Amino acid sequence: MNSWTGYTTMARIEVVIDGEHVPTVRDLLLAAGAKGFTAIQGVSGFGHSGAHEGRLMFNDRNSLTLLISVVQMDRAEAAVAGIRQLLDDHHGVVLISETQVSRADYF
Amino acid sequence: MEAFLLSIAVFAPLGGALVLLIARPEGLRSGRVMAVSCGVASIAALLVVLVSGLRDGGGVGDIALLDLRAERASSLLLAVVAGTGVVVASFSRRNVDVDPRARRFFTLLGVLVSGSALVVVPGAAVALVVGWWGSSWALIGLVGHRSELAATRRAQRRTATALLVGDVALLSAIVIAVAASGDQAVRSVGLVVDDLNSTSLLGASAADVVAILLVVAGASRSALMPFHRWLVTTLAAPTPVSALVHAGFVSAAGLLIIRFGPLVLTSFVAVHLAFALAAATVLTAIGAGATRVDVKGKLAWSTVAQMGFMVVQCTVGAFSSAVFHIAGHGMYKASLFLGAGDAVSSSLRSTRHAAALPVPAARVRLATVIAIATVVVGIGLVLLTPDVSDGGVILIAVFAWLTVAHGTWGWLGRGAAPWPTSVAQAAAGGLVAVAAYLAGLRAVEEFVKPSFAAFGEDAGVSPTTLLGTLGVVALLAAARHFAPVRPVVRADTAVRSWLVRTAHPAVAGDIPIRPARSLRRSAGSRSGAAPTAPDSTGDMRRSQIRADVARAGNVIAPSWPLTSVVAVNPLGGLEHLGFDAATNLARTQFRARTHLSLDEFRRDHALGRTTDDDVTWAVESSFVDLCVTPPIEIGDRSIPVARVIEADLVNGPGNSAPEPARTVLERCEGSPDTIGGLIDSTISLTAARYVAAARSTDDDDSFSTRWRRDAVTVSAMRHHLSSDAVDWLGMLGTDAADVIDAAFTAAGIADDERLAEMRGHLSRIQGWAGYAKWRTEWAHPTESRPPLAPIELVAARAALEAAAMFGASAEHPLPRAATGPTPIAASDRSARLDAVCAALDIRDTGSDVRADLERVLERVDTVGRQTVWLRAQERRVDVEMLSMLDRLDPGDHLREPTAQLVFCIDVRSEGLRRHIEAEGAYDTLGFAGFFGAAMSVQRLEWEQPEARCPVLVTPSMLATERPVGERTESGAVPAIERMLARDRRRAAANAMHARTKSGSGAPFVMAEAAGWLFGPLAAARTLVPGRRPTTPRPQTVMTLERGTDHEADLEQRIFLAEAILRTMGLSKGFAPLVVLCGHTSHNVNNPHATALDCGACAGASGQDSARTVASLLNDAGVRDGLRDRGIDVPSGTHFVGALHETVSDTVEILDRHDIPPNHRSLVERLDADLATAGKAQASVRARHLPGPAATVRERGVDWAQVRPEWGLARNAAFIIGPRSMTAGLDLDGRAFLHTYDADSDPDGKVLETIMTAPLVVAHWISAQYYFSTVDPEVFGAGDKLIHNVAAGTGVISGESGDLRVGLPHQSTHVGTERHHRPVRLLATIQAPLERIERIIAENPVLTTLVAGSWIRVAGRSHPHEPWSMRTPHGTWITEPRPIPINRTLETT
Repeated sequence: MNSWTGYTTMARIEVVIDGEHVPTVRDLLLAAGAKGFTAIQGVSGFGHSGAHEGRLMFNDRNSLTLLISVVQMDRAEAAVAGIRQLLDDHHGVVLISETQVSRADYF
Repeated sequence: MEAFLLSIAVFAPLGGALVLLIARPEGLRSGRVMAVSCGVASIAALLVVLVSGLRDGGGVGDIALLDLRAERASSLLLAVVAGTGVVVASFSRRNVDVDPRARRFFTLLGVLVSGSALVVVPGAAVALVVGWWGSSWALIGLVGHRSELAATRRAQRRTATALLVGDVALLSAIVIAVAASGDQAVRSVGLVVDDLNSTSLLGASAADVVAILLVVAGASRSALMPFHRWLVTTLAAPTPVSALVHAGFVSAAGLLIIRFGPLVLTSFVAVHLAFALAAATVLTAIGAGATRVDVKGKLAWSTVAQMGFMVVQCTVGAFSSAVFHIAGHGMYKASLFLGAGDAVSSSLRSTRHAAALPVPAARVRLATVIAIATVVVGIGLVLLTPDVSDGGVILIAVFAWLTVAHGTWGWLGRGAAPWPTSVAQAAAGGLVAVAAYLAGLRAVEEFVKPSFAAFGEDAGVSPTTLLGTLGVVALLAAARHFAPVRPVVRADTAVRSWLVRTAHPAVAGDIPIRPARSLRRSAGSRSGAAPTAPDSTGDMRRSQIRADVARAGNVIAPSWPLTSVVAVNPLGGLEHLGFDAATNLARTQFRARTHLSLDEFRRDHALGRTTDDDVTWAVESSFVDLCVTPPIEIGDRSIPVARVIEADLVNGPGNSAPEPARTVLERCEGSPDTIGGLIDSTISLTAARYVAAARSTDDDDSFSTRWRRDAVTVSAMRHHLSSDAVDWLGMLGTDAADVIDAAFTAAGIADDERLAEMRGHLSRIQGWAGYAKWRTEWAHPTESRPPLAPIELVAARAALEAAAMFGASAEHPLPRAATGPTPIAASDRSARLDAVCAALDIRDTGSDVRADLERVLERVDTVGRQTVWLRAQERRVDVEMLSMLDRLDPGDHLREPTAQLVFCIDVRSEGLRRHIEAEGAYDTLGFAGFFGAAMSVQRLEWEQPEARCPVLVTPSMLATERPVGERTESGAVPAIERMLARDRRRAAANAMHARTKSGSGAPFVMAEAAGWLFGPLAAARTLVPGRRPTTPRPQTVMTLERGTDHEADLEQRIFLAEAILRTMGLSKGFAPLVVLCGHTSHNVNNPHATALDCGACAGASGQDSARTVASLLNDAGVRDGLRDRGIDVPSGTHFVGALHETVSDTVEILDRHDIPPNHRSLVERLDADLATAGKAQASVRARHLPGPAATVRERGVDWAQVRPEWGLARNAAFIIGPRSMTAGLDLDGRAFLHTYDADSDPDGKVLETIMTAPLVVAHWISAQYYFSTVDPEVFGAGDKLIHNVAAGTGVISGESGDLRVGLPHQSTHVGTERHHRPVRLLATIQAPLERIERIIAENPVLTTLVAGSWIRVAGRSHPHEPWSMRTPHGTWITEPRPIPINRTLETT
């Protein structure tokens, strides 16, 4: 992807994982240098491990959550290394892509 | 007559002990015998006090042979000893209850009480020695009550060593005295001082030698320096023993000096030795106690300090003050020990007080405090001057001043009232307290004065010496605070480390450990090699290590603080592996049992809890290839393989499970209880002190700094670390991932071993690891306890293991490394074979037959047999439960009820629902006890809101309590204001008490004064337990809000109300009265109290949830909105909250002021019917609880009761369906009942909600009970009798160690008998099977539980269909056919 003028190229990390593992992924991202993340609880879908319902009425821990974080390119590999290891034991998806941000100092 | 009274007072407990030895009564009767014996003794002792008081200076007694004679002082102390004995014995009756060692316990208790009494009462030499030695060894026996625990055995040895020194010293003193002057020396030592002085012994006066030996004996028993460490180790004994020890046993030094006063006081060397030891002990014990973070540890060190103070009183000639102190402190400390379990509730109460009113700046407060204390104590001393020696007056003046000052500081600091009022209250209260104290002291002085008539006025330590000592102490304290120059700071640091070591002998003491040859595992690679600075780890590697720790953390369950207990599956993190694989891993990681033993299964079978049919079914369903496996041919007999396995299951020998090692050090040591155990203790101590220090300002070091410091300056680890190892620890970085990498590299852990190694580290400190997991993954962002991550614990433990391995030396080799699992002994195989042959009547046991049989048996190992047994037990539950549900004729239970009562799904509601339905036209429903409102609650008097919903849900709303009633012009409601003022006063009183317990120098006078109040209160609580009157709460209303500062908008509330009613299955057919009944458990002195509260309300009462939702559903606007959404709640229907108290089975209707007039008669009738139903339910519960049935409803208010109720024990099934399915059935409190109407839920959303939340939580509860029952020491919290609340967070067992997890032994067992039947949860659902199947498939949490065999699911689509069981593969099989699982003989 070409860099847009005035924008900075960074790595966008998206992780879909059970709600109960969100604190672990959050800690891995932050420890690897991420300055923040966005979490969307109760995402639904269908994939390798079958169908996943969306939001549950009385259970925030066992619905899928989408975590999105943007980190500097040189931090991305370290951030993802741990998450990949975590996915050895649990269902989940991790996606990495280049993205353009307007205010790089936020990340 | 007098001699008779005295002998009864002294010997009745011993008589009780003899009765126990001879008659050997069972269980509770042992306690009754001892309580009666001590009761008789205490009555006799009181009569002795009375008689001696009536006699002017005379004594009571003259018992033949022993020549006992109690004068006034000793009669008073005898009454205290006997009184404490009856309180402790009576307390223990309910506390120790059905403990299998109860008879031994009470026998030793009797010996201890009589022995202590003999020490108190002057008599012949032989009486003193027998009493002294007898009580010593009785105590040593009691300390070893749980002798199967290594820590207990160590404590017992340490206690025995210290006491033995005193025993020998006393015996030597008596022998010398008797040799010099005859037995008269012991009875009336004052008469023979001259004889002893004139006798020379080893170049010194015999009087000096005897006096010094007496001081040594007293110092040993009173835990004075240098014997000060033993007392804290006795915390390994049950709580009542601690009460007795601290109330009287340890006062020996004072008793000896009082008894032999003329001898000791006239020996300059002895009296100054005693003074010096006592003064040093006071300072040391105060400092040591300040470093403890556990309730009992603080109390123990407080006692040591008090003993020092008491001996100082004696040495300055203030004998009557010493008697006052021994009695007062004894009663006070006994009371505190007996009530030590209340620490968690106290902690909760401290956060639930009204906010303090403003208080002036600290300087103003300080000046006020000084003024009040000086004036109050000055007035008191002028008006009621103590009649003791000058030194005694100095002690009273100084320490009474400190007590008043600290108490005033505590009171004023809490802002109980506007400042002028607070000052007036403090001054008045202080004056009354000082006057009462001095008046009491004077009364005792007058009473005991004749006992000390022969004592010299000027003997002992001079006032100048006393003042000089106090001055030096004051200077040292001032230097520490006001002169922080480097030498002072350095000395202060060194002293602190020494105090921490002193305070924690189990961690810092000279634990006999043989280190460490094979610590140098792979000796060639590391032996003798100097450590080098570790390399910094790359970011990627750090990230991978962090992820690995998170994966390893799956073996640990989060552990909530006891202030809000949440039941969890201890193997919850391993659920994705399935039950069998998870339990396999757990057995390896925890050295734990995950199933009952084969012997226990067989015993259950013999008792009829499983039938032969169950066993056959379990075998056939466990091994799917049995039907094609050829039978074993023996002559003309053909024996199916299944019969061989059954015969082995039922008749074979017990199991001997191997114990695998978990970490590299453990593999080298071959035992968990060597240096590895010391590392565990060190980290546990560090973690506890770190968590407890969160609110203190003097030490804010990180956990990472603390464990390194503790390892090299505090723990006995320091003896096992070489200087190279210490240097290496210092070189490690602060990033936990770096530390782990360096430690694993140093220890030679390969990359593919690291995950298992991390699991091993976490499992060895699972209590604190559970805390860390909770704090990291579950705690609320505003949680005040400090953060602690599992990775920090792994780092600490791995580094200390590596450092210990560096420190290994050839001179102190480790045992040879363990070499893997223990092979099954040939004798075990042979025993199984013989048992099978005998059971199947196989007489031809030729080699071919044996080989055939062995081939079958070899394929079913120990775990395989336990797995089949478990299935057999679960089969019995399934058959019992489903056959009951099959018997009913389905149909609507009740058409037009006068009231509907919605109860929590908790199993404790099941019986009450049945009984209330029998009382009238009442319909009941089951729903999660938070009634669907995920909220926090802010009560009027609380400073912070608290969550009231399951931990699976994040509170999204706030329910605020608001006053109702007439307001004044300022807008205040007078009744509320009075309640808040009362609450602030209570908080201030607590702060005052806390301050006088911990403030410098304050506890001495406070304890001796307060004991005279606390003692009788403790006796009353023990002997006549009952409910205390409470002030009714003013009328209020709960208002639901979204967020924190604005009322939830109407749409939001309508949406919530609709969701609640539909999930509840109550969208039509409303009765005139709908009662939302939350539940709570009122019980006192129980660290695990919140475990008995409502789990759906985050381990708290369901009262606020019930009130809030009732208020929501009565809202007119909400009802209009509901009508638009198809739910028409009639205007004549009123919702009301209620509270089911599960100890007494009483139900209180709440917010009665809000009940419309035309509903009041209905409520009154319901009140009466609930009372009848509760009584019936309580009588049912009484059948399962040990102890008298008549008191079953009072167990919660009995502070001695370790089992106020059974909680959720025996839970087995979760039933989802209409009440018509279960109405009228006696499910024996074993089923969670959730109402569900499949017809009203066509899209299955309600069922999905039930299955993904209440069912999951019920599974957690079921799993916690299961594992706490099968291994009460690893997955359970062990014996409650030795619990010790630590760091305000959890309990430890005895003096030190890891936090305990899970349920206490008394919550699952009665003595050695299991009350809970450990089986996995059966979910029984009446709903279309395809709907159930779809929900399971779409929700991974359910797929994991069902496919992993964590729960079993039974279902039927319609009431007229038979029940089907779901197989782990997703098919449904109608009973009674077997449910095959993935197991074959070849793969077992």
